[in-house]
Amino acid sequence: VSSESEPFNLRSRNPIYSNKYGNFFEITPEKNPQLQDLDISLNSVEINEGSLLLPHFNSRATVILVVNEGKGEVELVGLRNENEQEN
Amino acid sequence: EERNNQVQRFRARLSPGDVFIIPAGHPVAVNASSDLNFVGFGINAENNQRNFLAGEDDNVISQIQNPVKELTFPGSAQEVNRLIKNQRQSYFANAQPQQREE
Repeated sequence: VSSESEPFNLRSRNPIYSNKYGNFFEITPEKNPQLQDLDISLNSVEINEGSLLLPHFNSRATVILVVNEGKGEVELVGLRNENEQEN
Repeated sequence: EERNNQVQRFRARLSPGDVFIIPAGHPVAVNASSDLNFVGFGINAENNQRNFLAGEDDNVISQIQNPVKELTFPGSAQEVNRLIKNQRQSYFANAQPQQREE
């Protein structure tokens, strides 16, 4: 076994972004050997009612978002490549 | 071969149990209509950087040098800078339409 196998808690560290509109907790592969083995990061995000997680993008990571609680709207910007429609 | 890339917008309402994929390099924003809590699993995560397009901190637009801003946007660099500074929060902000004081 190349890394510790103890469970860890996402919320045991301070959030990386926090203000009165929301909190963003994250553990990256750099901080945890188990995650480093998988090249995965974990985050837990709380957004308060009527608030917005500002527009941003991730340079390398593709993120799979799973909703736990509450309602909201996500907006993603992509490019439509017209060449693909010829298939 | 001519490539004709057009910007395309994808929107979705989120409810508990929903899954949504955010591909690397694609701008995204999330609006909460009630207190919202989600988890994210980032794959290919080593050395990932989260770049914001609005707000004060980690905003990549505000890191562009003024002469380059002049050439990139229709407004002058001063106008662009003033616009960027309007949003004083970082990462999370109020999404309610502001009532103008009369």
